[in-house]
Order: sequence, then C-alpha cells, then structure tokens
Amino acid sequence: MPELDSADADRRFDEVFQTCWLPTFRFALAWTNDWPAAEDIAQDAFARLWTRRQTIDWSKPMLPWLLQVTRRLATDRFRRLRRVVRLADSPAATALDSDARLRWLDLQVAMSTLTPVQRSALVLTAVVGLDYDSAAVALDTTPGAVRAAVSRARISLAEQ
Amino acid sequence: MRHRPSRSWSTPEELLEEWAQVSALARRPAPARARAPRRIIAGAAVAVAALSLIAVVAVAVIVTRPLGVAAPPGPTATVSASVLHDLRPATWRIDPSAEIGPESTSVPVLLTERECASAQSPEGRVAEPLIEYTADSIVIVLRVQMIGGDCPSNPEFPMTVELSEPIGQRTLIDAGEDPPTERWAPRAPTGTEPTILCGRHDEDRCHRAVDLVAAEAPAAVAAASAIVVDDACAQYVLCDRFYPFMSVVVLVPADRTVEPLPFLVVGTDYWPEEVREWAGPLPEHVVELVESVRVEPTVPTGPPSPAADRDRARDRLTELTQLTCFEETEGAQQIDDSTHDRVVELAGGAGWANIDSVWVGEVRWALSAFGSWEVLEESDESALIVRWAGHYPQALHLRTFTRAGRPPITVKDYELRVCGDPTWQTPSDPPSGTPPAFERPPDAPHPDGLRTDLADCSELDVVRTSDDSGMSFEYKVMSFTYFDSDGDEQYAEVRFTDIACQEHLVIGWLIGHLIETVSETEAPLPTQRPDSE
Repeated sequence: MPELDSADADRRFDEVFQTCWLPTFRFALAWTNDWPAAEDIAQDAFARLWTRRQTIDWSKPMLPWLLQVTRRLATDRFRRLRRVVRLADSPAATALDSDARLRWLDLQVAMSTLTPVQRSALVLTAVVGLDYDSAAVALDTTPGAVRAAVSRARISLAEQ
Repeated sequence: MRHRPSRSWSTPEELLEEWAQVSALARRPAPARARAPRRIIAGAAVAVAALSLIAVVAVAVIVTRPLGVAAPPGPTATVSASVLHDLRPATWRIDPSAEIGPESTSVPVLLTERECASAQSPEGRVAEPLIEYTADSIVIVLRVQMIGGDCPSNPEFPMTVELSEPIGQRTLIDAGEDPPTERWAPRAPTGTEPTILCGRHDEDRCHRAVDLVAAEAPAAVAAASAIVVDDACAQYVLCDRFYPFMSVVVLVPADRTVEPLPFLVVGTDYWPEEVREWAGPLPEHVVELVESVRVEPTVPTGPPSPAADRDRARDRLTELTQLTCFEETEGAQQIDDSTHDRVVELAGGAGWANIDSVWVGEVRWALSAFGSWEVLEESDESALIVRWAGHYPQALHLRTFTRAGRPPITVKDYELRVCGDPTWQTPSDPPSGTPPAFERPPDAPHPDGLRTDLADCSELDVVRTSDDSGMSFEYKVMSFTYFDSDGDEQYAEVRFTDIACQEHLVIGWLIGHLIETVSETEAPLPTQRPDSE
C-alpha cells in the first residue's frame, strides 16, 4: 500500500499541529487541571499522530481523533504515576511567567471544584467552540450528558 | 506555601474568558516534531546498530558480571533524587541470574536507560526508585538523570531495588515502560504448583530452563498448570544444530481451550542460557508429552448446592473485580458503530434511553449466579449486552439478548443502582415488557449476612473517590434488583473493592467469556486514503 510522500506528510502534520495544538492542549488542561501534565499529554497525542502521518487520510478532520486520544492518555492511571516522576523533578516544567502562573493557579483552584468531565465539557463547548455532538465524541458520552455537565459546571462556578 | 486565590472574575463567563487567555499562553513544542521523530530515529538507530551493540553489551556483561553471578548485593547504586535533575523513567527487568520469591524484599534488576545516552552506563545517575504498593501489584519506576547523546541502545545496569515489604502474591510492574509491563508474577499458590515434566533432562537443567522462561514470561508461567521440558530433538534422531543445549519449554494452561505456549531455550555449553521465541509447530515427541499432562475438564455430575453456586459466583466476581480495567483484559469489548446500530434497533430504538456504548459478552456467568445450574450447563446463550447510561450517570441499565439463531430470546432486565448520589433517577419511557420502576426489596435476612437495611441509599456503605483526572473510583457496596426470566424480582448485593475503572465496572457482573472481540485500544484513525491501494 503506497504511503503518502514523506515531505507531504510532514507538511500536513505541521498544518494540523498549527491548528489543533491549542484545542488539544486546552482539552488536556481541562481534563487534568494540571498544566505540565496537559503539556505532556498533548505532546504524546501529537507524537501518535506523527507516527501515523504517512498512512492516514489527511482530508478528514484530525481534531476529533486527537481529542479522543488525549482523553485516553489522560485517563491512563499508569501515566499518572510516570507524570509524578517527571514533575516531581521538573517544577519549572511550564513556560508561564510568574504573573501568568499566578493567574493559572487562581483558575486551577476555581476549576478544581468541577469534575474532569464538567471542566472538559465546559471548555470544549465554551472555549474550544465545539458543538455538543463533537464534545460528546471527545468525551465518549452523549450530547445530553455534555449538556448536563456544562449546566452543572456553570451552576457550580456561579456559586463560588 | 498554599496559594491564595486572587480571583479577577465574578461570573462563569469571565472565568472562562480568563481561562481562555491563560491557556492560550501554552508553549508549543519547538520545533513542532522535536519529540516524536526522536523516538522513531532512536528505533531506527537501534536496528542499524544492533549487531555492533550486541558485541558491546556482551563484553559489558562479561566484564562487569559473569553469567550466573547474581547482581551485587548491598548498596542499591541509587542517588538521592534531590541531587539529580532531568530525571527520566528507565525500564528494567528482573536479573535472570537472581531468584526472587514472595518473601523477597530485595529485587535484583537490570536497568536500561530509555533516553539517548550514547550507550553510557547510568552509574551514578540512577535516582531512588519510586514504588507504589497495592493489593495485587508493586509498581516500580526507576529513573535516570538524562545526559543526552546519541541514540544507540544503552547497556543494562545491574542494581537492586529494596522494597519496604515482601513481594507476597503480587506482581512487579515496570511503570517506566510504556505501556507498563509486568516483570514478575508469583507462582501459583501451594497446592496448585505447575507440574514440571522434565523429559530427558536432569532436574538441574530442566528447572534452570523453566526459571529462564519464568523470567521472560512470569505471568504465563504462573498461569500454567503444567510445564513440559524436553530436548528439541526427538530421541534416536540425529539433529544438526548449533547449540549443544537446545530444548523446548512448553507452558500448558489448565484451560484446554487455550493453546500451550512454547519457548526455545538454548545454551552453548549444554546448559540453558537463553530464552528465545519458538517458531513453527511443536515436535511430535513434545506434543505427546504435552498431551500427557493436560488435565481433562471436570464434567459436572449434578447441580451444586445453592451455597456452592453462590460461592462460585462470588469467586468469579472477585476475579473480575481484581482486574483494573476490563477493557484491557478478557472482559467485554466495545463494538463498532455498525453493530452498535443493530443492537440499538434490537433494543427497540434509541428513544428508550441514551445508549452510549454497547458491549458484547456472554451471559454464561450471570446465569450461573442467578439462574439454575442446568441452564448454565445446557444453554450456550451468547448474548449481546447493552448498557444504557448517558443522562443517568447513576443509573446503569443492562439488558441482554440472545444472538440471532440461538434459542428463543430471553430478555433479562436489570437496573443497577450505584447508591450515594441523590440525583439518581429512572428513565420514564422504558420499553414494553420492562418491569415497573425500581423498587427496593423488603428488608429480609440475607443469606450471606450482607446488609439488608436498604430502604435508603444513603445507608449503604458506599465509598466513592476520584482523583483529579477522574479515575480510581472505588465502590464498596453495590446493590441491584433484577427480574429473572419468570418476571420475578430478585435482589442481590455485592461488595467490591479496589475498583479502578468505573466505566467497565458493571460489565463485570455479566461477562464471562468474550464471544466477539473488537480490539479498540485507541480511537480509530480516519480511514486509509482511498487512492492508497
């Protein structure tokens, strides 16, 4: 089976990387509420895409696949252990400056009151801009469940 | 110091705006593919440099630790993590020359650095191990300070991992490997030790060969009911071969439906030294030995007592619930979209409830738990098991259907209720034939002495925990009612411990053996390019 030309595949990968990196990272961040872990997970998701870049149909949207992979990576319990390994010794894993870091810590505290699904549903729909159907695919649930999660998340945040 | 929030928002919308702004500051890996290609290049480099490295590694082994000599005891050769930096997980395996058992608290291992290090020894760069002790496993992460360099294979580094408690009947898992890999598993408990048939070998060579295989495939050895060892060459036959010692080690599982697992063990001095994959069919003389040790299945002579049936069901449940995630084991597997649609149609359409996933399994075990023994043994009712969830996260509805062409459809409706959340509710539009809404059974003495005061969910001894990533749920007690084929309401309660995979928990109730496997460990990629034929 002929594969995509290497240079062409690289170019496609770069295009997807440019457009999908931020939403992928945001989803990982919403799910984990952990900045370094989200960077790590988003990178791994793209690493998987990279290894398959010459055999996939680039005409199809890649974001849904990346989000599903991201969710699965984020729920890998052993990954959490490895993450401890990396992060315990890499306190400066983020590129945030001190001001941004403080802003993030505020947000992290606020978002920690939500469940991972609630955070992710809220971010995917309100920040990333997915519709409920697409968010449901990413979260491996139903659009109705996404709506419920978003609703509960907003109520919870408003009560803070 | 604990961070004190200094929030700059007053509404969820403002918070989300702030979240969007901050998250947009995420650094992008630069260059974009810096991480991914390195793995690939490393793999290629390993392949290219393999031959030369074999010599290098061989020399290293000979110089630092002659074959058959245990790793140096005493100091673990690790350094405090506080004085190291850029630590990265490394992989390891049990030192094949060492013997460990349930009572061991020291684990001699051979560490291999994963990061590119120009094949330099990690000596002086290995940090104290991270060890997680659980009921059924000990998870070990070894870490090495990264120094960078080219990417040939790195040498194995012998060291000893000191445990704070004996291994016991737990597996040792290397979580520095991706995915985490089992490195050692306890042998079957006394009384079920595998029978070892040594063929034409003396006991020393025979058991040495078995030990080598055990180091390579600990789980398979632990699961074997018998192990057959014999020379690969049949008796009275001249064989042209390179190794003086060349034998087959066959792990024979108790389950006759599972194929025996053969290994080739070779040695240059008529002594077992190395395990390799066995290729091709087994020699006939070995097949005869395997057949001689295979245990005939026990044919039930009559219905067991209810208590025995219950015990059996509980054992099976225990077995299932000790698994961390059914999706990754022999449990049910999520089926593809087309089958999903067919099942939805079978179930009477999607209007009844939100069907978020469909699983395929067999109700054999469920029947053994809740039905009569005769039904279990005489019926081979393979069934589709459908799970409804979605809007009702606390109400999981299970329904089973026999497969097409099977005996008349037996529908069993279950309502399984995870208590502890007052928002639980029942769908309002059940399909015809479904019994009325969930009702608590009357308080009655339970034969197992479990709790019976179930008038209120809050009274149940339910523990539910989750961490930041949403996993590691733990349910201590669950109860449910179900309606048997006669329409009679039945009640059951069971206690779970150490459940780590909520999504698949319920499936463990019903699934005995997989009848249709659709492996889906990752989300499906978009299809192959149409012009790529």
